[in-house]
Amino acid sequence: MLQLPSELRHDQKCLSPRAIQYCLAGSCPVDSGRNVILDVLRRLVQSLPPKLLPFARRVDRLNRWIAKFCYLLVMLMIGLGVWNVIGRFLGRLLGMNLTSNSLIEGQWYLFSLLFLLGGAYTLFRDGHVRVDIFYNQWNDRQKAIANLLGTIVFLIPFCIVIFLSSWSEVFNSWSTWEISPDPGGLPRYPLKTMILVSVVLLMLQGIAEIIKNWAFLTGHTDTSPQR
Amino acid sequence: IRIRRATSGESTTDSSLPRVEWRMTTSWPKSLDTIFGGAATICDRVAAMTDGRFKITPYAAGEIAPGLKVFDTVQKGSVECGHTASYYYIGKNPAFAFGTSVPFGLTAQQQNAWLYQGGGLDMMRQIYGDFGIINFPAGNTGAQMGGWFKRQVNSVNDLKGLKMRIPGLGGKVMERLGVNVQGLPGGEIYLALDRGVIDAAEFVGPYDDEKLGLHKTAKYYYYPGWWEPGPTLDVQVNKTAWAKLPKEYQAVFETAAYESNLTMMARYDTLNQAALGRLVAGGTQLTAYSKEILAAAQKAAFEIYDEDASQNAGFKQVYEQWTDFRKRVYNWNRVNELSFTDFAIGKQPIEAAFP
Amino acid sequence: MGEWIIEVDTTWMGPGMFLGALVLLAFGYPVAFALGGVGILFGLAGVGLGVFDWQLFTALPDRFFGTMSNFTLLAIPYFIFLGAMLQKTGIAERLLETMGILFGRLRGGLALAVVLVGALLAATTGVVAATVVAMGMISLPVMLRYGYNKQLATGVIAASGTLGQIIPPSVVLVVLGDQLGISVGDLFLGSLIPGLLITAAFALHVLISAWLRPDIAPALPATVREIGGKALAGRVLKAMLPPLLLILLVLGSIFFGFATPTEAGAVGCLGAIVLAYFNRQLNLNTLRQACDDTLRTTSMVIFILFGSTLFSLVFRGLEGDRFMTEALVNLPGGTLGFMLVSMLVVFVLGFFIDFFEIAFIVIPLFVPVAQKLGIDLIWYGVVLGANLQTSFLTPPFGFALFYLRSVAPPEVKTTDIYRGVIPFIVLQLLVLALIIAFPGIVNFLPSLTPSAS
Ligand code: NA
Ligand code: NA
Repeated sequence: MLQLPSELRHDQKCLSPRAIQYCLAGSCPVDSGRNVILDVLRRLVQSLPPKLLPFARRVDRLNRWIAKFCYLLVMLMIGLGVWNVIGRFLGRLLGMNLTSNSLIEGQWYLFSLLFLLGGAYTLFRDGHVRVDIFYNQWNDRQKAIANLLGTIVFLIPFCIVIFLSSWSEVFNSWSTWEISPDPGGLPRYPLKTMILVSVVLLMLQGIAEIIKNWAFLTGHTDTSPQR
Repeated sequence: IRIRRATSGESTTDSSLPRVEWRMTTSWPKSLDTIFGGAATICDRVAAMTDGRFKITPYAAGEIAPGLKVFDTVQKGSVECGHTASYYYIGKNPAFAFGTSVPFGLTAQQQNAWLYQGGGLDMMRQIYGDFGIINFPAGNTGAQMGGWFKRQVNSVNDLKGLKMRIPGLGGKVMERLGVNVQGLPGGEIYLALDRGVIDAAEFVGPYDDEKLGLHKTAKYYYYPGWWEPGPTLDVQVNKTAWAKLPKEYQAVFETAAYESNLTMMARYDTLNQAALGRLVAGGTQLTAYSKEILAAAQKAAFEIYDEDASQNAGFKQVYEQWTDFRKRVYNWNRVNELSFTDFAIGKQPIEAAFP
Repeated sequence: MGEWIIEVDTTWMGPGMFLGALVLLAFGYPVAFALGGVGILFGLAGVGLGVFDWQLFTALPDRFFGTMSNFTLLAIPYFIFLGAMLQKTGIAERLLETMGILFGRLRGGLALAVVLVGALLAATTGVVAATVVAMGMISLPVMLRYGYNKQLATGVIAASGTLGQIIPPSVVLVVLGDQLGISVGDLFLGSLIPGLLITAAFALHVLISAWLRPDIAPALPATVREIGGKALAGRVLKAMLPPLLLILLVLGSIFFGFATPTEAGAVGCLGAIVLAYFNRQLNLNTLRQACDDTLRTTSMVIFILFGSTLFSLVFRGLEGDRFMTEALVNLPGGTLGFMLVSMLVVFVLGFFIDFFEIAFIVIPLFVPVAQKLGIDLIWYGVVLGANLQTSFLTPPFGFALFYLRSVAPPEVKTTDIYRGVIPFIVLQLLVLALIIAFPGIVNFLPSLTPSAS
């Protein structure tokens, strides 16, 4: 049986299995001429967003917090890049090895972390670029519909496919404690795991965007989620 | 959509062998035609021996997966098989080094002896088996060259602080000798060496190095490539896919791998000597590693093996068996091959061979 | 007795993906996910029709890992940060303003500066995303403020940003050389004159159109421009010298071999921070904003590459590449036909597929045909490079357009960018036609080196 939110319970007489059967057959004996199923769905669509919005806000906060962490990564990346240049130069003067493969690999590890963690935040900030020839001419409502559908048809499958196709690779990497084949290289398994973390974050943010657009379309929020 | 009557030979009730289509991802760009040719040989021969019923399509590095991820894609079954070198995957198990080549290890011929008759292939198969892969030797480049240097290095002291692109175990040895090892992808070698970001780089041998244009960036071409005296390349097959193959096709595949192992070596030996002649004529200075560097490198190499053996039981098992084989085959080759080549080939100095 | 076999013709699916992407991208959902989504939809359809192997998707993490460990792409965050710092601290603005003053009444001076800086940056990074984004951040706001026409401003930035493809040393040429199996050094030499030709064409175009239509690229207003000799000298010293030194530092560290282009970007970032400090513009807020820009723009760029890599994996899985080979092999018209079609294919692929993928997909198909027709591969490589550069600029889809859109202010319409690049595309096609008609433009320099046979 359908589980309904409490405010819909007064409609229960419409939802006896028998009534639903009738409704599906196209004639509703209880409610004069209205299709009860559609009615229930419409009520669900109308009533759910307020319950889901807090979740969306929490996801927003999570990714904002992660972005702040990423600011540190950017600075660290610059520092490491500069050190690799200076270290190599000084190293030759002093006859010492001041740089190593782990520092060079560290540079692109930080780079990878940056966009893997930042993908979801960028979605939150509406920073993923669009071909907006038509999109720009639409009003907020139309934009919300495009984003709602796009997230369901494109983004969510994108995340699911990547997650499903990646976990065995990550598992294999952990099971051998895989490290870089180059001298002094870094462990690979933590970085590969970040691919999974990245798409989970992205999917959470996608769900949050669905909720926010949904809430906007049903009049529960006034501000368009697209900035 | 169209519906038609099946022609003879593709009828589903035909009792002859089935049609099978595989993908083979490789670690090589198509421009490295000799080494990519090793993969293509297998595919061509398999098709020829099965009247086109068992069809394998080879893919260059990057077409399906990056060159150094062949192992991963075969392990997962993204593709059925791949052509690569096992030592790219020492990060998964350090013993994979022996499957290809280790510094001061075996020559191509000795490598074949160890793998096919000396118990080496069984041991490598056991390790590969843990990853759900079965491997077949499928190519050898022969002893490689010792890399391109912008300035001469005569002593171990000259190596200190030198920035060199050299991956894998050879890189580990160089690191011990004080070299500042830089891990650059193949595509970046030319620019980095040209600009002096690195002082030295190694790639393969004369034929392939010439194509990369390395002779235009550095003058001194060192020999021998002591870290790769005879690297074996592998074709790796996903075990599940292998088990599904009719045993006739299994035999065909194995035979094709043997052929590839033979022909690649022959092609390299023919192409490299011609390329080296061109390089030297163009001003490249052939330079030998000094005895001092070779001795220090050999010492460092075996220190590294001993350390790895003490940390990894799997490595130790292969290492001990391999060391024993190496000693015996070295002794035998010292008598038969070396005494002959020393007399017949070694009479004139190398500089005179490439005037 | 044979049996009945039902065949579904699925060869259309590979090429069909491009049509699908064309239509679905127009709905305005972010490019990265729309491209990836189209790939998944076609993959699912292929699984349903029995022509796509779902297992192939498990190669995705390996392809992503290839992008992650691509050392060249590291230049992107560095140059974005560099651009963001110079913009947010106002250093870039004062630099460009002072240049404008020095140009005096010469119209189009700022745009000319963009072309020159673009060519210089091109010679260092060769990464289109890094160049376009950095220059968009630095110069677009200034040009707009001084009354430049939006179309000219965006066109010149996007076009100059793609110069990195063809002016050596470029990553694109390295990869092309690798794929064509020819010496990178010869390819560098061969592309030098064409690269300079295109740069010169851009510069001339800017000057001529500013001369013909004074309103689209005005000189700086007299009030800003008219400062005396001494004040001007002081201003040049203060506003121009430090950032120019910074640019020299970046370029110099590459040319003198202290750093790879990527690392030079890092050095440039440090330089920008130091510069901001001496200008008393360095504070936590600026840094945070620059980091935020870096984070968002880098993620945007790389996720487009992720979407594109998924797209091209499915394209290959559906044997779209085999479809193209067959089409190419059966081509009528000899050399001219081959040149036309191969250029057209690269041009169209450049709409959706990242350069590296294009190099992997089509170049190996073209090489044997080109060899059979006796085409000089160095010349062919340069023509391919110039063509690819153009494809990144062509509306409605082109990577340079995406990247510029992402950093352009909202008052700049996407259609402005589209219209803006058109004259530059025409110029590039002209130069392209020129090097096709006169191969000597390419072959002259390589023929001077002794090792060319
Ligand atoms: Na080598
Ligand atoms: Na385009």
